[in-house]
Amino acid sequence: MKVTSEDIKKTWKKIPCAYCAVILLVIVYTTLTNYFLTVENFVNLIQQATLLGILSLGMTLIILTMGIDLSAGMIATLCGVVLAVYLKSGGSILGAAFISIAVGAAAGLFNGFLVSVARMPPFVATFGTMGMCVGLSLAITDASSIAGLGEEFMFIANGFVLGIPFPLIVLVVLIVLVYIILYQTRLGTYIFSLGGNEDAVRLAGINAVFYKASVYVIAGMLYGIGAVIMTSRLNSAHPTAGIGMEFDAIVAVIIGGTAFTQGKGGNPIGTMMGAATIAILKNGMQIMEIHPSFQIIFVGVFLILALIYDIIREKVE
Amino acid sequence: MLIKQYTALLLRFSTLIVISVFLSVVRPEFLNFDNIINILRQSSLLFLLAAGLTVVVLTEGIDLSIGSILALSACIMATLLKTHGLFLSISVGLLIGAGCGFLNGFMVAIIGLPAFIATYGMLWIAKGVAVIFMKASIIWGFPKTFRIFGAGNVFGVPTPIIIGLVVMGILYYMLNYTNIGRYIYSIGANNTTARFSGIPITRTLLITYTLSGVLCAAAGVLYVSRMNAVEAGVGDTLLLPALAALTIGGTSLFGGEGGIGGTLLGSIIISVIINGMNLMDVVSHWQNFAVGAIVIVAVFVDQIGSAKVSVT
Repeated sequence: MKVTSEDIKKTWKKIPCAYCAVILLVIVYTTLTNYFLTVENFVNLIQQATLLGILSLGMTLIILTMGIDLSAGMIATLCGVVLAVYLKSGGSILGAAFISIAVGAAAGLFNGFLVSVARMPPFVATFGTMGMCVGLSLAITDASSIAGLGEEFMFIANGFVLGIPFPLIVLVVLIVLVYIILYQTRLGTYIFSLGGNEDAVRLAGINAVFYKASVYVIAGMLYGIGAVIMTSRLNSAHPTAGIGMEFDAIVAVIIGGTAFTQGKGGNPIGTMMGAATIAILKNGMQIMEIHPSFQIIFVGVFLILALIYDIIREKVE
Repeated sequence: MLIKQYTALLLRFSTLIVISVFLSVVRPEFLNFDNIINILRQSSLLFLLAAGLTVVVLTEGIDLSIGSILALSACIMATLLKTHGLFLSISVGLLIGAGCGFLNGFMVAIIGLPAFIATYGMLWIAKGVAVIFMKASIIWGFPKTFRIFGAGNVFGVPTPIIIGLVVMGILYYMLNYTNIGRYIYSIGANNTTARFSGIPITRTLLITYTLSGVLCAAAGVLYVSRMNAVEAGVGDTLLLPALAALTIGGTSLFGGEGGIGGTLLGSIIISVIINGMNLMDVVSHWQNFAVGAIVIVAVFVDQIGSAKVSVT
């Protein structure tokens, strides 16, 4: 088969920049550090990346509807705090996980209500929610962390099943679930249409309000699951643990190929590559002992470059 | 239209009066002269931040990076103050604000990124630079001449109030009586129409975001001079109150509606509420919660008001 320049162009358009970024980062870090390409670091990386991956899955759904969720990190924090309080009061692990997901769903419902029923701009509604979650988390914990949640609970983030890190298994299950939601259900079809043309969806007699709100609820539940893993990994809940996490998630989604316009993208695997990019970027810089603030700056620069790349690609089309 | 504006203004005034009466009944010290001056100082700072944001929001944009720009310019200015003169330090601070604002404008107007994501990126970048620059230290103790801006008086009137009023006057004139002001409103009201009418959208947006950056830096001057200390995290909790001041002031987040006068009232209302919570010993955690809730309620009310007009 002959490969024409037309073919190359087509494939180039389809591949999100995250794939190139991951390969590039792995090459750079492998040459710069000895520790990067070790099994120990790989496991560490996976443990770091799963939380971001789960948050990004929720963010993918929301961004597909042309929304945004600035409260993702703080919802996860609030879930973690409530979960820790429940565990400390002698609750079971399963119950704690359930409560965490329920708190996430409730916060998501609140966001969904504001965005779809009250028709508020998503970034303001979720920003307000973020402020409220910060306040609640600080108030519940009295601005201190809740530590020591038990060996059994720590298994969730640090344990292995058949040699595979347990959080990775959770993540894979969630990716499959999100994939099914997006491509095998009516909700998935509506999610794409909501991002494309919301008025058309509404005029077609579809209950747009309901479906849009449910996207935020599903995302909230995913944050709740992420919170279980986060809390278990740290073996403690801290009222400011999740600050800025939504930023990483948004960047992961965008460089994973999901665009802010017209319901484009929506490939969970692409989002995972985006999450992997951010996780590898940060992991490598940790190994090289670069100041955490530089990491934030790099992620910010990454985001803006990725957006510019998207726009250039669209113009080429 | 005019009647609607006046009723809205009246509504805000009565909100302010109701809250003030409530506070003065529950906590009589609310009406102390010192406390009221304190509130006004506080609200001028908030007003500078919210004013820049208002101009941006009028173009249907948003600037999430105001807190970080304030922090970055304040940190650099404070460092310079330790070794250099007053004039140079403040100029550099304002220039840094302008630079960050210009970058925002560049990303939004020229590259065409969505405003909330471009400025959100700027939020983290500016914050990161500020943290690196300060190396987690606190700079404090500034010359008396510098402290006039935030803590001093000019002819018996607190300086921040004068600065706030001057900025209010300039922006009011700019928005209502100049071409650029009309451009700002028309871009926010309908971007497409504005483009077809030949309005220089790119230039207007660049000016708008740069102005917002400068006002953040100016607020930074007031902040540092009032607190007499600065660290990299100063801007973290300022965005939410500014957003609350603007939305309570009646500026629509969908652009083209509202104005600077409302934001001034909004800033005073928010400062009174925060002051009231302090007087009533509400823990700062719950203040966070309350300001978040105020933003949501204010936008919610704004939405209900405009939903009746909208067609779809």
